[in-house]
Formats: sequence, structure tokens, C-alpha cells
Amino acid sequence: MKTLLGLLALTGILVVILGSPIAGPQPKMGRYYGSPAPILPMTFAHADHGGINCANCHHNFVDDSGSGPCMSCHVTSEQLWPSLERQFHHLCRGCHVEKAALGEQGGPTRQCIACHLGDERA
Amino acid sequence: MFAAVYAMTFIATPSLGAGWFWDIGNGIGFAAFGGLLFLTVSSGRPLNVRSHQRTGYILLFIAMAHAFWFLLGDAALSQYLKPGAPGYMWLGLFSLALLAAMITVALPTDRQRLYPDHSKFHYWHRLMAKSTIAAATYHILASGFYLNNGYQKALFAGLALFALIGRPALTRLFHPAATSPFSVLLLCIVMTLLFAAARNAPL
Repeated sequence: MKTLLGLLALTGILVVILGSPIAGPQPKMGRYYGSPAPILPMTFAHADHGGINCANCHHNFVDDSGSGPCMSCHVTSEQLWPSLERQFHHLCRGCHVEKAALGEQGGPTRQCIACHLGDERA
Repeated sequence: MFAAVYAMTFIATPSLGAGWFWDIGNGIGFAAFGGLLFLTVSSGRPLNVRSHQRTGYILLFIAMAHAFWFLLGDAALSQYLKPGAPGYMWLGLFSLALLAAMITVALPTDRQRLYPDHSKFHYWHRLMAKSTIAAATYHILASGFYLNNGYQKALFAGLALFALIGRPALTRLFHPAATSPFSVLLLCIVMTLLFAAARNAPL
């Protein structure tokens, strides 16, 4: 039994390091959008969000806090960078979860790979 | 105990699901957690040691199935178990490792070698069990989603605390000899499937 547990633990460590052999394409950590440290790639299908008020995401359109795409501030700003994951999970996933709770189609709520495989897939 | 764990996830957002794959994976996790609470409150005296051991092994493999389900099925999830991952994921891993350690060192040969004094074994076994449940509780509560409201989290934490603190009283209600490890396994499978079906069935 101990041998089996040891083998399972080793398998788990190898899967974490090398990635899942059966889950399909692996996301590559990298310095995307000029990030100061490696981050996961992100998928964003702009066309799928046509029904959403632009200012829900593009707050800079109304609060005059900058210009350009989201990542130009949220990845490169020293103040915003540490909150990148929390803020984007809250914004993107939070909206998807709200829609799912209402029984509406609203994008991935939990599946990591659904958003973190990069735009080249879309 | 199993029913209470699952029921609390349905209080606020009963129809909220994340797809069959994710809901089955989390259903397996809730089954492992419910099983741990059950194993705690059903460990009164006289203890059916063989049944307790076998149920412990089954729950360990269910907890491992929860981890492997996501690791193998979602290519991005392994990033959440590497340096920089959130604390609640490390605590989930910690609770799994502690559960494995607790079960393996409790086997008679190792137990007698490590703990010549039986009361010391009891002390450490209980401490490890409580730490496993505490870490798993934090892992579940901090990852949110099904338990996303404050009162839900408080109730869930209260259930775990009740199983730990109220154990002496609860052990009188359960009869370990009547617990079949395979009935626990069957219950885990049925509850997981019901959990996922309830969240993915068309309204």
C-alpha cells in the first residue's frame, strides 16, 4: 500500500511539473503583455461580449484613468500588477458566475483552461 | 454527515454549476470531506479498527481522485500547485499529504515502532485528523464558488467545528461496527453523481 501511495505521489508531482498527458494543449507561462514575471496566457473573445456594457470592463472610458487595452495598465503598473489575478478573476469569472447563477449562458465559471490557453486558440 | 456537507453547498445557489467535469471533480472532493467528518464522529469506543482503517484508505483514495481528476483533466490547473499558488491550494495539498501520512503511520507495524506508548499514538492521530480537517475546511471555504456567501461559509465551518469539538457526544450516536467501508464508497459515488446532476440538469 505504501508503494502504491508513493507511486501516486510521484505521478502527481510529475503531472504538476510536466503537465497533464491527457488534457490537450498546455498553456505556456510567459511574460505576456510586458508582465514583470511569468503569467498564464489569457483568452478574451471580444466578439462574445457584444451584449455587455463597454464600461463594465473599460472603466477608463468613464473614469479617465488611462487609455489603451486593459493589460497596458493592469500588467505593467507596479500598483496594479500584484492584484492582476484577483481583479481579473473577480471581473471575468464573477460576471460569468452571476450569469450562471441566473441560469444564463455566461462563459466559463471555473475551468481554468477555458480562459488560460491564449488568444491563438480562439 | 455526508448529506449536511452537500446540503450546505445548495443553500444559496442550488443551480449554479461549472459543467459536468468540474462539478464531478468537486463532488468527489466534498465526498472525501464528508467522509472525513463521518470517520471522525464514528470513531467512538468500541472501535471497529479494521472498518476504520479500510474506510480511511477509501477516503484517502477518494481525496486523491479529487486532486488527480483536476490535475489530469485541466491543463492549466497544475499552475495552481506551483510556487506562487494561492494559500488555499497549498492547504488542500497539505491536508491530502497529512491524511496519507496519518493513515500510513497508523498501520500496526509502524504504529508500534513509532509510538511504543499507545496514548501518544492517540494524541498524534487525533491532532493530525483535526489538522487535516481544518486545512481541508479552509481549502473549501477559500476556493468559494459553491460556498460563496458569508452565512454559508459560517455554517460550513460550524459543521466542521461541530464534528471536531462535538465528537465525544456524536460518537455515542454512531455505531462504528455497523459501518461498512464499501457502503461509504458507494455513498460517495452516489452523492457525487447527484451533486453534479443537480447542478447540470436542464431546468
